[in-house]
Amino acid sequence: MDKKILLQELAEGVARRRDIPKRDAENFLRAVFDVLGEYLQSDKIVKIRGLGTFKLVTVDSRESVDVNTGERIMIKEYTKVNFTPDPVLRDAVNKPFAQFETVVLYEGTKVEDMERMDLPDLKEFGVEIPGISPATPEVEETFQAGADETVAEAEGEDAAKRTGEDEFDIETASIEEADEDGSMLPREEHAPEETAGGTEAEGAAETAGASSPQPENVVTVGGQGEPALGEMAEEAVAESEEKETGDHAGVSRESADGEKKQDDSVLSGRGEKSTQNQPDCGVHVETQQIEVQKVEHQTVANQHIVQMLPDSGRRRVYLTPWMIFLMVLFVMALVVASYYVGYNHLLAPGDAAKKSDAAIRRESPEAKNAPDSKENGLAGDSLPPLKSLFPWVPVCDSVKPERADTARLEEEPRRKGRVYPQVENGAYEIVGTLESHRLRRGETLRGLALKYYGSKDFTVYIVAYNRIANPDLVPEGKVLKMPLLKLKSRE
Amino acid sequence: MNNKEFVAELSRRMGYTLKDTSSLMSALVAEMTEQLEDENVITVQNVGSFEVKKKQERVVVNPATQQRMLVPPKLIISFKPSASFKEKMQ
Repeated sequence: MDKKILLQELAEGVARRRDIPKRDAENFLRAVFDVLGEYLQSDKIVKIRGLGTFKLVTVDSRESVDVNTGERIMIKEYTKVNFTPDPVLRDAVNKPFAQFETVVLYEGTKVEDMERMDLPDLKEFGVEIPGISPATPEVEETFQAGADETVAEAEGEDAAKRTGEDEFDIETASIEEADEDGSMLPREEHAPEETAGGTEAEGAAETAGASSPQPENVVTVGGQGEPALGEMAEEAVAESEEKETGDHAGVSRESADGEKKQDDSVLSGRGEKSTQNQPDCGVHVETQQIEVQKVEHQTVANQHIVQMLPDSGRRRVYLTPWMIFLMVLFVMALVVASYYVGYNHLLAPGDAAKKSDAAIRRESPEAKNAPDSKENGLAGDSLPPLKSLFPWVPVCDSVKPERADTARLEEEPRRKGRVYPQVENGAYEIVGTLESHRLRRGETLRGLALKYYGSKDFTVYIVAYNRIANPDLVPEGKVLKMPLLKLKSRE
Repeated sequence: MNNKEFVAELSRRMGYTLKDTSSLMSALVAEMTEQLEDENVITVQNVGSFEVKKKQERVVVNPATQQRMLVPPKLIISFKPSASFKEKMQ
């Protein structure tokens, strides 16, 4: 397995098979590959029975773009060696997977793209899920994958969570309310179960202010607990719905004891998940999916829940956009705050420098217009108009011009060093001088490239042709020769 | 160049009879097949390497009928010519 076999080992095998000296076999093998190489070169194709066909394929030269610079480059023509294995060899190698066949996927088949199937399924059941976006599928999928485990584990986790949550103050925050609402349901459900029921019922009782471990009472406890929760007006309606949920669940529990467990876990699963503060859509989808699966093979008791779930589901969806909005607001505030903090702290030292920097930066966009205005008659010294236009610009005296130049030329990509691979590999070659241009104030090499060649990508040709040492700093008044470019012909 | 010509050229070069040469060729092919079946990598100096690679299963769609099909995973042989071999072929 995955061993590296060399010619020597192959020769050993051949020698063993044909009972010849290993030396002869090795010579033979060398001859085989020599002949293969030679005839491939001359005939372009060599067929070897049992092994396959070697073929030389010529790949035409083509134009492409440099992925880093986005510049056009020429890929030269080259020859590539193609090997097509003989069917015998191909099948022999594929033996481990030979039993598989291509299968047609029909509509109902669920493969890895589960999420695409899930939405129509839900719509069949008339469940409205506002706010479901294509972004949720991942969440759905993971839930879907782990659905079985979560259902199974939900009870245990939920019990642990609930003990923690019982300590929560009800009035703390609306988010917590949401959590509690979620966990409240399973709490009611779990109570009759004698496993951890005692403590759970007590927990529920603490919030409600009354304690009774009897199943019927637990339903009422839930009822009492929720009004306590429902200090917010908007919650009141939702709570009544939940009371319903509790009642229904109670009914179902009495009617079918065996199925109760699954109901429990479904509900607790939901409760647990809603505590994650995630975009709840995914969670609902998941719950309802479980529901959907259950419906297929379960009785009246579960149908109760199917009816109620959309209710409570819809209620929580109302809450979600609000929470998302809050989160988005918070994140935006954070970004803005960090931006201002960073700006003030990092740029504050050297206030003057900052000022001039900012000034130059502000100037640079205008600088592009400068050449135009100059060409419109303001030839020569463009300083006075600039100064009058931008009074905050530091006075450009004998020292300043260079600096301003630098700032403007800063736009020049740094990557253009002494070597110009773009020029060598590019789609164009320099065949002569188009015309010469005296560099004026405010002009950039990029601007020139744009003006003469229609794209700033050609800057590098100007740099290369004029052997400019530092394209970021070109003295004013320098006479630049604009290269005459010709598209490289395909060989 | 087909197999016959290949064997003829080989026998001429090695001074073996045609029969011996083709027998040796089949031995070589059998040996290579066996090694590749074991998923070993056969590397021949100055020529290249033969390697078995697993192609993952994938879903294809027939553009005419929009029918989706699941293509099973495959083990395929890939030949990667060595740099010197490629150079020679230019």
